[in-house]
Amino acid sequence: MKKNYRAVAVSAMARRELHSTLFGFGIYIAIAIGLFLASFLLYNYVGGIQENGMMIMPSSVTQTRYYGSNLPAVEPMQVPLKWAVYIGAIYITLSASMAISREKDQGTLEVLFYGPVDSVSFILAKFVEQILAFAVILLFYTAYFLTMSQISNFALSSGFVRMLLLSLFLAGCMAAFGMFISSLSKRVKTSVILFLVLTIVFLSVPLIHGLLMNLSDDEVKGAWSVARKTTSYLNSIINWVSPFAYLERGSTAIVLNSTSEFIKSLFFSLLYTVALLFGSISIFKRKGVRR
Amino acid sequence: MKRTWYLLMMVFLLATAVLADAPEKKEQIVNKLLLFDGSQWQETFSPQEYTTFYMLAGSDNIINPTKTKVYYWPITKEYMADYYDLNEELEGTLEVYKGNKLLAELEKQDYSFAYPKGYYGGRPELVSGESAQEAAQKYQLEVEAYYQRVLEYQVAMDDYRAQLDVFWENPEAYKGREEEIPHEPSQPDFPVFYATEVQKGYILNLEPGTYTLQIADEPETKRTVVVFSPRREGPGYDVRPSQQWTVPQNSNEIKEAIYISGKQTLYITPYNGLEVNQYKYAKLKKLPTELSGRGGELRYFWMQLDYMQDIKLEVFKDGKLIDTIDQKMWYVEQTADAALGYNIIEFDPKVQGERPPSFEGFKVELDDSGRYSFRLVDENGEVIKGSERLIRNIGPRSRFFALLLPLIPILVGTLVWIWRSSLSASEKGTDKTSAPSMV
Repeated sequence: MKKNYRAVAVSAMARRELHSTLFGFGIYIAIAIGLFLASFLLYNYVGGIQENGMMIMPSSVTQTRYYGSNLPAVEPMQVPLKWAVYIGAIYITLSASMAISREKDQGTLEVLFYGPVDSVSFILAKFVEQILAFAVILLFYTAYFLTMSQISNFALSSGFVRMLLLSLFLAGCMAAFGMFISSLSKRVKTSVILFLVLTIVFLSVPLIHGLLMNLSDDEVKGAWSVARKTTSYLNSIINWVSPFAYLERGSTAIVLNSTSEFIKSLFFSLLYTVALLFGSISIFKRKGVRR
Repeated sequence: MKRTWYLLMMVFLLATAVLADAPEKKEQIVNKLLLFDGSQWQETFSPQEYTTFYMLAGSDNIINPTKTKVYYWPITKEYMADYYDLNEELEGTLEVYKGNKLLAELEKQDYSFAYPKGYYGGRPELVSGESAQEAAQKYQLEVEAYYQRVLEYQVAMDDYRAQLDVFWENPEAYKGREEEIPHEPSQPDFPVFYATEVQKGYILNLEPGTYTLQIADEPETKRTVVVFSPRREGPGYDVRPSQQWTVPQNSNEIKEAIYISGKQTLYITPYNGLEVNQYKYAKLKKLPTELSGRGGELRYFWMQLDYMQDIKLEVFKDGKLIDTIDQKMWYVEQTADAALGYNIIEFDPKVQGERPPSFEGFKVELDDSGRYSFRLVDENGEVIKGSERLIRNIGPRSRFFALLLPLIPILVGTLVWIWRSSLSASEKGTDKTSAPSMV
């Protein structure tokens, strides 16, 4: 298939899919859930400030010699944005993870491939559609955070813009990850279960590891010590396998104000996306379009 | 029956033997380590089981290869050295290699820890060579001068008591001659400067990297040292709101803002901070422990070091300097009545006597309007890098809008759905079949 035909096919399919997404209710529910989560965090921050008289928003674990260890607290807008982005990214991953298996399951894929569509254009079209859908989600998020910043006086820095850019790359990772899952399974149910299990593991292991690492060394004995080491190993694997880890790495670069680390994180996100898309295409080719 | 009895006896004896089991000590060469943690020196050691140790770059550290007895203590899962049983420090030239390249050959030097502001008065200083001898001598002279002052005080006290006896014989005689009434002599001041005894050791100060050390022709002294820098460093703050003085919050990063609600009085105490790798820093402080730093290889955290001294705080409102504040001692005084309550007052040793101050810091009073910020300046008026912080007053209607705004996407979705339904109905009316697809 010639390249321009492929581009036309990608563009037509992506437009059709995006139209369908925007006319559905799902995307608006996902945006609302993301914003409710962000609002929940901001609501608690405001409550904390009003109750305690003040609040500092640190972004890293702090251990003090004089008052014991404090749990990590949060930066006002970056963390709510990060969680809202997670929700948006989970929505597009779920949608991407069903993209191939649903069409295969329903038998529409075979019909589609009688036209000027091949595996590369099909996967790319699905991918582009997810990225565009995520861009719409980001538009809502940006409007929300700008408004809330004006009302609450919570600071918005250049880190916010960089976080938005980073989240587009996260969307790329997530969509490619979803497509990869989808290409592996023939049924929608399998894709969804696989997606849910992996998402829970990817989000919970770093969280549990973080909690375990907040315990002082003297308290960590026996099973706790084994758990700490195990989650440390798992975490180092998840650091490269999980798409969320790429956002985490980038947001750390933003906190550290390190441009080189930030660019590095974007590059690795891109690499991850390309690798998974290639993987999806080759699996898709090998498995074929029939049910 | 007899066999069972023997068996029980054997189990009992074995159990007793296990309970009475003292840890087995092994003679070996360890490296005694005094490692700088950013504010003071931590003592640990490197046995044969832990031949890699960690230290901060650009700081002086002391190393002393020593023959001693080492045992494993299972309760805390760590190796311990029994220097009381055996403590033979090894002599020779310490060779420092980077890869195969010999970087330096070190001889033992005299060293001492000096405390210019007293043992409890701030950071110690590591002094070496002649300075170590001088520091120890200075401390000795200060102690001798103190004893001299004590002797003089005792003589003065004897004179005072004698004069007092004369005074009590006829106090009326001193009418009009009050200046001749005897006054109690004041107690001599304790020496402030303190220095430890002079000791000998190899002083190591290296750039970040991995090195190998050993005393020439003593392979058992060979160790690997990983020298690391903090990821970031700079001033941090303990910030106390006046209504909750016992719950200070930390601010380590320049990017952090302090959020307040309405009028507020804050007490701000600055300290030196380091952001370090959790594993390496834990190993620096306590090397031969299985659990220290375990799992923290990829994590960084801020370490609060000593409180900063000899600085001022500049407070800005809407970009204009409004105040330059000195650091003061504060005392928390409970209110006199039965109800709970306290006042934070400036600490005055004449009033509070021997009671210590509750905390030290800058008092900053803030209105409920305007944008505030503050920063630290040193004795020369130079701004201390990384000390700037913003203070922001939170909007009073934030919580209401936080609940309201997330409803907007649902509203948009509903409008789209209504529009799509009306479109679909009109398409049906005109007998068109290309209805929009569902998700």
